[in-house]
Amino acid sequence: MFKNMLKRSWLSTIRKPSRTIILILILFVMANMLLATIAIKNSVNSSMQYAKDKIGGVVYLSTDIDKIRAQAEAQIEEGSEGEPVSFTMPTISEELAKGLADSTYIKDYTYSLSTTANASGFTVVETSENQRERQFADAFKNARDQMNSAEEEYNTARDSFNRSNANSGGGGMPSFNFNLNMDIGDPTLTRGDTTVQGINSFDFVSGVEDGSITIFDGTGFNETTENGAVISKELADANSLSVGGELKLKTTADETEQTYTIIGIYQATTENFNYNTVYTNITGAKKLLSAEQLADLNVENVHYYLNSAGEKAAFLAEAAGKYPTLSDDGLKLDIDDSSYQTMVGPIENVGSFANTIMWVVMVAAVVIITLIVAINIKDRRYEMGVLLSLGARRTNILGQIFLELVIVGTIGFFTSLGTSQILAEKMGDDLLQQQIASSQETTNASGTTTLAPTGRGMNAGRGTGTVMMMGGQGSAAQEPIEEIDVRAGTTEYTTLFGAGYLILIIAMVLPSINILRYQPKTILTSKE
Amino acid sequence: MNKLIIKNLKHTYSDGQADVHVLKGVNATFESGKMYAIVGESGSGKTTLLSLIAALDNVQSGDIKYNDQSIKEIGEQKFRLKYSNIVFQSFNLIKYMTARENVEVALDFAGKPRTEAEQVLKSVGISKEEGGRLVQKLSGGQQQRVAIARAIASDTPIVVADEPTGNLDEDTEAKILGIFHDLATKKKKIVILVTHSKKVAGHAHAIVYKMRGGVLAK
Repeated sequence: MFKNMLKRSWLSTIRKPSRTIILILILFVMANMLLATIAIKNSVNSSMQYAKDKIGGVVYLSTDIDKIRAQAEAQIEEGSEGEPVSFTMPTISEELAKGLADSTYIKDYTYSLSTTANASGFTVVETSENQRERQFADAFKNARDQMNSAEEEYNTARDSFNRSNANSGGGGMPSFNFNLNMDIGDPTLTRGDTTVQGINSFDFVSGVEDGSITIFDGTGFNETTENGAVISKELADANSLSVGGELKLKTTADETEQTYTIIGIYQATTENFNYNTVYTNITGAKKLLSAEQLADLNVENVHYYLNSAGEKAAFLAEAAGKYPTLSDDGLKLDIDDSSYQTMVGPIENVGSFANTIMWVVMVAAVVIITLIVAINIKDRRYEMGVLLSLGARRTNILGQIFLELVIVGTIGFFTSLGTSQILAEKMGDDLLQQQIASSQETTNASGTTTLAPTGRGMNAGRGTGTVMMMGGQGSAAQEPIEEIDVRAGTTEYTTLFGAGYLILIIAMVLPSINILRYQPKTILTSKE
Repeated sequence: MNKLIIKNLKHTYSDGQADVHVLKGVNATFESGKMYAIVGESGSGKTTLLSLIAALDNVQSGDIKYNDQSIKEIGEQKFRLKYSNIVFQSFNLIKYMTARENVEVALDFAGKPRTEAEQVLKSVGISKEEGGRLVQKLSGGQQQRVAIARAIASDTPIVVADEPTGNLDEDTEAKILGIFHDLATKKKKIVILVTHSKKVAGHAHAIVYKMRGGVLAK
C-alpha cells in the first residue's frame, strides 16, 4: 500500500514540475536559514558552555542590605513616633562559611578576617590612609582642647561675675557644664597602626588575580603555613625588613606581642593602597584577637568558587536546603558572573538573534507552505473526490499529500546541506561582528569597559557593567568571545530534518482536513 | 442472484435559500445480470440517486441494501471499495496520469495487481500504446473508456454511470453501451445508467426507470 502511495506521490511530483520546483526552492531557502540558525545556536551554546567551564563562577555570601533596610523601614512604620529603631547587623560565622563550602559544586572557597595591631620594633609607612586617620585624630583632639578651653574661660568669667554680683547683691550666673570630658572614645586608641588581613591563601587576596598585587620577593602562604606573613615592599624598605626576617605585632587588646616570619614581600599598584597591610593566614590573624573576639568570631569576604558557572542554581538550592534560615538571618548568597557575562555577552546576543530568525523562518515556512498546499489541494479537489469514490481512505490521501511534500522537502533539505554551511558561517560571523561593534560603541560612549549590548537591554541595570574583580580567583576580567566555530553536523542535520518534516505536517494538515472532511459528492460537486 | 434494493429513499439538500426535497421516497430493486437506465428531466434527482447508490453521499432517510445489508452497515468507504463504482459524466480522470496509471490507482485500492491494468483497458478497447498516454492526450471517447475501465478494474458487483455517453458520437456511444451491456450480461453485474438520452434508454436490453417528482417509476 505504501509503495503504491509513494508511486502516486512520485507521479504527482514529477508530472507537475513547476509546482515542484517552486516548493523545492522555498524549502531549500527555508532549510538553509533553518540549518544556519540551528548551527549558530548550537555553536553559541557550546561556546557558552565552554565559557561556563572556563570561568566557573563565584558565589559570595554577604549581608542582605536590602532586606535589613526593608526590615528597618517596616519597624519605623509600625513603631510609634520617636521610638528608637534598633536592629542587629547580621554577621557571618566561620562555621557557616565552612559549612557552605562543604559541597560537590565547590572547587575552592575563601574568607577573611580583618583586624589591626600595633607595630613592634618597626615603624609604619606614611600612607594616605593613616594620614587621614591622624588628621581625624588631630582634629578630634583640637576640637576637644578648644571646647575645654572655652569651658575654662566660661567658668572663669562666671566666677568673676558671681563674685562681683554677690558684692552688689545680684543673682548668680547659672552654672553650665559643657561635659566635654565625657566618655568619647579616642578613635586612635582602639585601632592599631597596622592592618592585618587573615585569609586562607594569599592567592585569594583581592588584587592577586588581576595582578594589581604581586609577590615581589619570597612566596605567599596557604592554610597550613605557620606564622608566615607577607608584607608590602614599602614597609619592608622603610624598615629594612626582608624575607626570612621577623615581624612583631602587638595586639590592641592587651599589647601581647606576636612574632611572624616574613615569607614574602608584595608590591601593590593600586592607588591609595594601605602599605601597612600585613597578610597572613586565618590562624595567624586569630593570634591577634582576644578571647572575647575569638568567641564571637565573624568572617568577611566569603567567596565560593563553583566548578562551573552553570552549577550556580544547584549550589544555591543545596545551600538553601542546608541552611534554610539563611535569608531570615539577613544573609544572602549571590553570584558574580560579570566575567561570564563579559565573555558571552556578544555571542549570547548572536544566539538570541539566531533563535529569533529560526522561529521567524519556521513560522514563515509554515504559513507559505500552508498557502501553497492549500492552493494545490484546491486545484486537486476533484482528484481527492475521485480517490475517495474509488474507495480510498482519507488517511491514504493525507499520506499521499504528505509523501509528496516529503519528496520535495527531502530534495530541498539535502540540497541545502551543501550551501547552509557557507551561509551559517557568514551569518554567524556577521552577527557576531555586529554585536562586538555594538558593544564597543557602548564602551566608547560610556567611557567604561562595559560590554553591555545595545538594543536588548540584556545587561541593563548592571550599572556601568565594568568588568571588575569580585574577590579574586574565578572572576578575573575576561575578553569577550570574538569567534564562534559554526559547524553543521549530525545534530544540526537531524534537527533540520525533524523540524522540516514537522513544518510540512503542520502545513498540510489544515488545508487537507478542510477538504477531506466532506463527502466525495460534495467535493466533486463543489469542483464543478 | 445479487440484489440492490432501495426503500423509501428521501434526500434533501439546501440550495442556499431553501431546502430542496430532491428524492421523495424512491423505491426500486436492481438485480445482477441486468442493465438499467434511469431517465428523467434535469434536476429530477437522477444524479443524486446515483450518488447515493455509489455511496458518495450519506443516506439521509430510507435505505439502500445490497443483498440485505445496508450501506450504513457495510460502511460507506468499504461500500465504495468493494461493492460499487461509478463512471462520472465528466470522466474525472486524474490528468497528470496516463490511462494505465488511472486504472492502476483503482487496482491499488482494491488490492489487485497493477499488471491487470492492461487487460482491463483492453477489455474496453484501449490499446497498450493508448494506455501509456496521458489522459489529456486521449479523445473524449477514449477518456470515457478509461473511466469505465477504472470503474470496473476493482470488479465491484455494482457499476453506475452518470450520462456515460453524453459527449460521444454515435459510433462510440454504441460501443460504450455495448461495454456496459457486456458487464451486465457476461460479468453478471448490476449496471445502472443515468441518462437523458432516449437512445440509451431505448437500448434493447435496458430496463428503464423514470424519475419524476422525486420518485422512481417503471
